Amino acid sequence: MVIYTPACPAGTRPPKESKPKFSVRDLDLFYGSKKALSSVTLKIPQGQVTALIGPSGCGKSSFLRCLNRMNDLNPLARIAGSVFLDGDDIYAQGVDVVQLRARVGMVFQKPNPFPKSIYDNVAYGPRIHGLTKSRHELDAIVIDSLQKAGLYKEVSDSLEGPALRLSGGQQQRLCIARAIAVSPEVILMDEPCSALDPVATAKVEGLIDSLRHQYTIVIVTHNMQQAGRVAQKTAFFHMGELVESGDTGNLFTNPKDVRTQGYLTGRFG
Amino acid sequence: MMDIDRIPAPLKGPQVTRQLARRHRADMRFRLYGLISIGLAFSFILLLMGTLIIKGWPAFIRTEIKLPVAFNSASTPQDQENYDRLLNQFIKKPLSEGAYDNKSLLPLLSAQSYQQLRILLVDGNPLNKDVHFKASSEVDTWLKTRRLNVNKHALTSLTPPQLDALYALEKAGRLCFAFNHSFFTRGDSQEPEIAGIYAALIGSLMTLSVAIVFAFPVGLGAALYLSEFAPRNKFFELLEININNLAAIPTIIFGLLGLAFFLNILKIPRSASLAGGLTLGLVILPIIIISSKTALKTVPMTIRFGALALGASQVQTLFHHILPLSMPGILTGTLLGIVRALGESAPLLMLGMVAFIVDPPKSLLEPATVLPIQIFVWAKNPTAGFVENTSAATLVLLLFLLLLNSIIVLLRRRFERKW
Ligand SMILES: Nc1ncnc2c1ncn2[C@@H]1O[C@H](COP(=O)(O)OP(=O)(O)OP(=O)(O)O)[C@@H](O)[C@H]1O
Ligand SMILES: [Mg+2]
Repeated sequence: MVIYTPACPAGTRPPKESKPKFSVRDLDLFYGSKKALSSVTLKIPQGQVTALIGPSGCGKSSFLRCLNRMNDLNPLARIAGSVFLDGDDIYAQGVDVVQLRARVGMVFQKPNPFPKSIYDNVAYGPRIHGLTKSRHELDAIVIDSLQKAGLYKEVSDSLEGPALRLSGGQQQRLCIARAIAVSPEVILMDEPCSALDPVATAKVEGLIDSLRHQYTIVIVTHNMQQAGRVAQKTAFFHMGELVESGDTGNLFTNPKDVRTQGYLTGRFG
Repeated sequence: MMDIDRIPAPLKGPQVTRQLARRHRADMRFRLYGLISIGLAFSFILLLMGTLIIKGWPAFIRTEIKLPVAFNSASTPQDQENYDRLLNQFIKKPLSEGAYDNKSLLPLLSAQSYQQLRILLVDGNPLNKDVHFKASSEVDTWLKTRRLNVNKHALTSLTPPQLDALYALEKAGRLCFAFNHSFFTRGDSQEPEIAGIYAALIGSLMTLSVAIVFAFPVGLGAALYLSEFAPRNKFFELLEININNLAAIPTIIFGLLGLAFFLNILKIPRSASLAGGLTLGLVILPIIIISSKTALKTVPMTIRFGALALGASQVQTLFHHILPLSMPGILTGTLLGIVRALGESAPLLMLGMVAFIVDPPKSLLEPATVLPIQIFVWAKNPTAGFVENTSAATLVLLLFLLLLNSIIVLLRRRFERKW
């Protein structure tokens, strides 16, 4: 069994610059009076994996939630600045949040499967968006999504079993399958591998890499090696600020800011 | 870095053992308190049920007198007087000749016996057989005192000749107990032996249905809006505080409101189950809102996030995930409301539902009464027969509650076993 194959060895295929999928300008985020993000400006390229790294509590998850407007659900959260998806401001008036979230999928830091069957979890997205015409098609999507998330083999004979009886790592992979079942344009992943063993991690990393040609992926990770393995771009956050961003190889080997250097060498975080 | 002297001592040694023993004792004590509380609560319930059953069960049986009916006259009698005369003949027949005067025998039978006889003779055919007639409440009490050892302190107003007649009838085997059908098939009456709970039961069902049909959708809707859609501002905060306060208001105030609004403004007839039901609906509305809101709040936010992040709309999130998950809690809250409404009498008194109801209401606008008020009315009547009726009606009310409870528990199971 192959334990780990580097999905995209750094340098083998230098990602070419294209129109950014997301373009974030001067983004401020407040939770009540607490400032969680201050003037973040960042371009997230299409068809690539962007990793967000930084010490705990620096605002990575908060930033991720700005990209599909999940912060709208927090009455305390207030936002300033703008986020463009394919050139359109997603915070402009008249933007349909429901459609936005169908285009920008999300996998949360803590697995949150619905208390339903495994099948229903994955089938939920396609069902509400009316993506399939027949049960047969739906079955195909569910199985395909589970396979991509590396979970199918483990659950193939208990698709109707309750999702909550899966282990933590299995639940996380189920949430990934659930997110990709609606084939979003962008997938936001908040530490998708924090509860996974190395084998499952490798599977998910393989999945991320195989998905990136079709989708744009933003991943939060605490694991530098992981960022190095899967991400073409990396952005380093510190205390709500975007300190530095760029090509992963560059940022890791040649950090410009002292805070980045300190974090990468393990002096804080 | 950890200071050396701050490393805790290992959990060993006599002191630790003593401390552990103390903690275990505290555990045991706490459990004991719990057991005592449960025991107390349970024994009070047993006591209550026991008293009710002991006091109430005689109401489910009634004394009947078997009379030899012999009728072969060509014309059926027309008025009550004639029927009473016939009854008097029948009751005299099994008695050996004695000094029973006509006036003393007839009161041994229930006041409505002539009607029973009229129905028997209505087609004018000759008749010759034994027929059971309900005895009067006095006779019923007397026989129960003799045979069942109940109502020991009841005073009897039976005269010596009447008692003689009763002894004779008993000797002839013409006094017996029978199941009291009419308790369940008739409305209220001045005579305890024929008074029943049927009218009140129907009234209760009607009132309760109106209350549920009104309060459940409105309450659930309000709870859904408050918990899922309402913006957080001063107005809704104030509203919520007010709803909580409503739940604590004495229910008689709701009666005043119902009187002013439903009767005086909407002109719903007095004593109608519609007015009572709507008023009870108002009483249980805050209960349903509060408990439904609590149930909705217990669904973790992460479920909402998960659904919304997939592009589900708020209503889809609500109906696909939140509502099914909180249904058991909502049903429990509704049950609390229903139980409350079933036992409530104060606001209904304000609406005039204490009227003397013989026939069950045929529509929501006809005068009705409810079980608790029927119980209340009977409880004020000191006659031995009504004392039995009171306990028996209370038993029926409790059974009714038990039934409702089981239905809701079944519904809850249904929802919990969803997948
Ligand atoms: N819902 C919230 N309400 C108030 N403050 C919040 C909320 N969520 C996050 N914060 C605050 O915002 C800051 C950034 O939090 P965030 O969750 O984005 O950090 P993070 O980088 O994802 O950390 P971690 O790596 O530990 O997940 C923290 O100081 C946190 O306390
Ligand atoms: Mg986080």
